Amino acid sequence: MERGIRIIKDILSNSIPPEHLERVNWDEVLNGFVVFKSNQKPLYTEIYKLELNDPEKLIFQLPKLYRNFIEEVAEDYVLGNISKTSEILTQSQDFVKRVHYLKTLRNVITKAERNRIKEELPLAYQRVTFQPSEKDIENAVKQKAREDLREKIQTWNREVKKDVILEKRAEPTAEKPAKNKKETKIISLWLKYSSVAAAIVIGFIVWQPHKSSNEMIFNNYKSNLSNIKDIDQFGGLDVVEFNLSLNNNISRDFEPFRPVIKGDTSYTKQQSLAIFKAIEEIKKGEYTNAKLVLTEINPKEDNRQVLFYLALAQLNSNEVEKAINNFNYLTNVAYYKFEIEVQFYLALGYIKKGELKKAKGILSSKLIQTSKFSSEADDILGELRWF
Amino acid sequence: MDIHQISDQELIELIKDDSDYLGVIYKRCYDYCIMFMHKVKGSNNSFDTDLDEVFNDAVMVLYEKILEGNFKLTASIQTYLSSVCRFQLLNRFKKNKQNISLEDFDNNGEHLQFDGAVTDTLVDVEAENEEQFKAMENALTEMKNAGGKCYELLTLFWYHKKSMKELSEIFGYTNPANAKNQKAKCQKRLEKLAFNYLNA
Repeated sequence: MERGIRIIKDILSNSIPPEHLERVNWDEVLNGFVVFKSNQKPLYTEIYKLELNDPEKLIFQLPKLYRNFIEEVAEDYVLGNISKTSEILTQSQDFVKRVHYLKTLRNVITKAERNRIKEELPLAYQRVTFQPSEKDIENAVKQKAREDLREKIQTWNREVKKDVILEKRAEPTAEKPAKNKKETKIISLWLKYSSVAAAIVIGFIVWQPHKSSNEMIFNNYKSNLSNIKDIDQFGGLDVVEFNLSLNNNISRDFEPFRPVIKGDTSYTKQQSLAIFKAIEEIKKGEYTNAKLVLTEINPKEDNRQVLFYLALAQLNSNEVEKAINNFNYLTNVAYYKFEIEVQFYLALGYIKKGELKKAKGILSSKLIQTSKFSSEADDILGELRWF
Repeated sequence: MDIHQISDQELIELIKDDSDYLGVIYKRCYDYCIMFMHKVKGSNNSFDTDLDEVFNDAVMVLYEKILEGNFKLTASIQTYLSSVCRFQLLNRFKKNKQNISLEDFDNNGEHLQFDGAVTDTLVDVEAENEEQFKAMENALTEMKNAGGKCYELLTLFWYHKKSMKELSEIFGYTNPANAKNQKAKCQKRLEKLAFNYLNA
């Protein structure tokens, strides 16, 4: 009954005066609470035994205290702390109802929290390791604070001039000493405004509430594959055979080295089918298997068009560093078919890594600004944090 | 603190306080677990399952074990997670009536790190009364969207198993009794919202 007594003591501690607490027979009080719904007499008897000045006051509170008792024991029970008290109370409908409700509550919260944690797992590492350089923060804050403060000061100057004009109109014959007094007042008001505004501006800059986090931007745009989804069933790759059916079953005696995908080294039909299937998976947002298949066929050596899809799969499955390396490699390939796509997704990779300067450089480049990605690039540039 | 130098045991202590440290586990163990599952699956590609999902569930198993306070690290976290992935994958195969035995699995996974005795798995949450469950879900979402402390307070108490003392420290209440009062108020509010959904 230890847990039950602890709960009862907690519940009654504010209702029984301290000088009477020593007289309480906690086992009996607990028994009284357990049977309270069907029989109030045992609990009343225990209360009268305490010889309180006003026992009726406590008796009046008992229904509420009983509800608290049921709630606490039920909560304890749902959390896995099963006690003798809770075992006895399983005979009580009030208790069973409450346990059922609290179990539902716990399960709903468990479901929501599991989903949240699973969703945020890839980002959680960045959260615990995020340590921006103090110098960068300091410089950015200083620069932005200066700009914003300058703007504010200009606004105040305009306000102050307006006040002075109004003052002159109201007192056209004001004497010189009075004017000096007014100026002092304006300066002190100005200083007060400046300090408050500076604090607000600095707070605003650090917080940047109107800007999205790098992670958020990356997540919003990384899997936006609408730009590659309308590429043909061959993923836009240069192929030799155009009458190929993707559902062909490959038999073992099929000419194994007949090329299908053109490239630095041609792939066999079997390899090509695997590549097309992987590209279809990427288009559907399924990256794990596609990444394995594409890694195995070694596209960096054999086919740089296929390498683009591998990099895309890496970018979307938490291998940002590898994706950036591959995209960077592809930026140096002359007359590359997916030149624009490579630049756009490289920028996303940089955003994920927190290298915003590089990302901004790419997104505002002429190549992107005159491409199908121009509006997305503008949206991202508007959302990116200042530092 | 250099995150790369943290031992498994230290990591478990950190996770108890802050679930974001699960990200370190994700970073350290993801690649091996996915590779491990591909290996044990062997040539059984006819059953298509999302291995990322199996891995995420394994991380949740570990987290909930840590929260329960009865998690004893007998091998590395990596070995534990691989073992949970193995068991969960096998369950998924069985659920889809795939003809594969534990032996096949373990033969495929030879030379890889796992503990065959681990049979921990993520138990799905039950919804005894679907209607009540849905109403409560809607109420909780409404509470979350409304902002304020209630959603966080209830999730920290019911899922992350924080005590009243810990809650009072996290939210800056003067004592555990205040945290308890606040929790009771939030729970009452949630109950009212759920009631409205149930009777809408």
